[in-house]
Amino acid sequence: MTQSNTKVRENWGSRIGVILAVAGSAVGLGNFLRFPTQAAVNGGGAFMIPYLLAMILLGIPLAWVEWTLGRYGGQHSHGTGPGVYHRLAKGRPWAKYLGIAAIFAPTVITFYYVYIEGWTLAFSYYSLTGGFKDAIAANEMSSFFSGFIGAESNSYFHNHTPAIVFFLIVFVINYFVMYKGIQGGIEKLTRIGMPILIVCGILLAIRVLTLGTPDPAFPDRNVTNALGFMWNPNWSALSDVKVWLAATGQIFFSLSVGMGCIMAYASYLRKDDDVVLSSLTATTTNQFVEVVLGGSIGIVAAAAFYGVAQAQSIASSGSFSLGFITMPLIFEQIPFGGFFAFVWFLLLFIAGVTSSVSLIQPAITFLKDELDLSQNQAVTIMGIVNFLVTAFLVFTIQWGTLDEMDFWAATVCPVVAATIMVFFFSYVLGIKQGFAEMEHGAAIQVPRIFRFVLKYITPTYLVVLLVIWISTEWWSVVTLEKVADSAARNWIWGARAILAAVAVTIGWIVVHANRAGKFPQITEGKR
Amino acid sequence: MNLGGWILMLSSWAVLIWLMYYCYSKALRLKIDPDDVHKQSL
Repeated sequence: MTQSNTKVRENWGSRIGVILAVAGSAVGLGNFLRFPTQAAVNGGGAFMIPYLLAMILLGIPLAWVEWTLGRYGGQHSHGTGPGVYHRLAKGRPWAKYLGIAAIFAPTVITFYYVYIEGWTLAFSYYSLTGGFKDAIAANEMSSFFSGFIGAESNSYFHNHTPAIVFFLIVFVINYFVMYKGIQGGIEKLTRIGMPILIVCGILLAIRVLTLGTPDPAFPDRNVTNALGFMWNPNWSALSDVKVWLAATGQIFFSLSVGMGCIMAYASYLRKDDDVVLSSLTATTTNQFVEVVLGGSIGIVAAAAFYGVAQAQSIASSGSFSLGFITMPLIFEQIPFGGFFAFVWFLLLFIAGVTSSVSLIQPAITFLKDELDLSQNQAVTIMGIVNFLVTAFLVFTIQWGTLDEMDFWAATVCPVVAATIMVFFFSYVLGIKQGFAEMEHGAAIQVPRIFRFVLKYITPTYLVVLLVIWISTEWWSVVTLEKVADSAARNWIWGARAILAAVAVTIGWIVVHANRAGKFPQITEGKR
Repeated sequence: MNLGGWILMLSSWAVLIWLMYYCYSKALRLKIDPDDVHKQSL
C-alpha cells in the first residue's frame, strides 16, 4: 500500500444491467451483417458445427476469464490490462506492459466504429424521409452509399457534410452516455436499448420469414429456398480449414472477448457478484441475436428477392454491401418498406451504440484508474482524441485508412490480447486459483472439463489462429503489396503513425502511473 | 430447404432459446444489494 486515499469505485445498479451491457457490447453490426454472410459462404448449416464448437471451446471460456479478471481487478482499483496483469504477476515489472494491447484494440476500433454508427443513423433518417427512394437499381444504391461515406463525389452527394453531421450526432450521444458513467449512462442505455433491439429484430425476422415468394415470375426465389441457402449443410466444407477459421473468427469477434471491454465493465462489479452465470447469460443473448435473428433477416431476404446465385455474390461482396445497398433496395419493394428500412437501420444503430460505449469504456477506466482523473476529465480527453482521429478517417477513407486501422485493431490485436489474457489466467494465476476466483459468488458451477479447456485447448486454439493469420495475411498487409496507388500508401502510413502514437501514449501512461506508485511492489505470496 | 437444413436450423434455434430461458430465469432470481457499495484502499 503506497497511498492512503480511499476511493469509491462506481458499481452496476443491477445484475440485469451488467448482463445487458455486456450483451450490448457483443451484439454489434456483425451479428446482422457478418454472421449470415459468413455462414452462407462457408458451408451453410455445416458452418454451425465449427461455430458451436468454437463457442464452447473459445467464446464461453474466454468470456468467463475476462469477467473474472475484471472483477478481480476492480477489487484492487484496476479495470484494465496493465493494473490487472501487474497484480496477477505479483508485481513483476514486465507484466503491466502486456496489458497495453487490451486498451489499444478497443480504443482504436472506437475511432472508426463511431463513424460507421453515424451511417446507420443517417440511413434510418433517409428511410423515413425517402432520401434514397430514387436509387432503385443496385448500382444507384451503391453510388448513394459511396457518395454518402465520401468514397466518391456523385449526383447524390458532393461532399462529406451529411456524413459529418450524423457522425457529430452519434459522437455527442456516445460521449453524453459516457459522461453519465456506468449506472447513469451505460446501464440506462442498455436497459432501454437492448429490449428495443430485440423487438426490432423479431419484427424484421417475422417480416422476412413471411415474405413467401416475393416475385411470382420467379417461383424458385422464395423464403424456403432462401433459408436453404443459409442452412442446407455442405458437409464437404468441413474438410476445408478456411471454414473452421471463419467460424472461429466469427465467434471470437462476435463475442468481443479478450479485447478489454468486458474486463473494464466487470471491474465495476462487487466482490461477491456472480460472474459465471452473468457471463453465460450475456454470451447466449449475443448468440440468440446472431443466429436466430441475424440469420433470419439480411441474407435470407436477399436470397428470397434475388435468388441464391445473386445472394452468393452479395454475401461475397461484404457486409456493408448487404446492409447498406441490398437491404434498402429490398425494403423499397415491400409494403411499408420505408418503415421496415427505418426499423432495420435503427436496429443497426442500437447494436452499434451499445457496442461503441463499451469500446470507449476501457480507455476511460484506464485514465481514471491510472492517472486519477475524474470521469469528466477522462471522457473529455478520450472525446478529443476520438474526434481528431475520426476526422482524419473521414477525409482519408477513400485511401483505405479505415480498413488499415480495422486490420490491426480488430483482426490482429484482439487475438494477441486474448492470448495474453488466457496466459495470465491459466499460467500466471494458475488454473486452481483462477477457478477459485471465478467460482467465488457463482450462481452456477463451471463444469470441471473447462479447467482442461482453459489450460490447453483455448490457448492452443488462439495460437493456431494467430499463426495462420500471420502466415497468410501478415506480409502482404505489412508491405502493402495490394496497394498500388502511391497516395493511398502515404495515407495508410499516416494511419499507421496514428496507431503507433496511440500505443506509445498508452505505454507512456503506464510508465507515468508506475512512477506515481500505481503499480506497487507486491509482497511475495499475495495477489 | 432440405431435411438437414431444417434439422440444423431448428435444433440451433431450440438450443439457443432454451439456453436464454435457462440463464435469464436463473439470473433474474438473483438480487444485488444496491446499498452494498464497497470502499477500498489504494
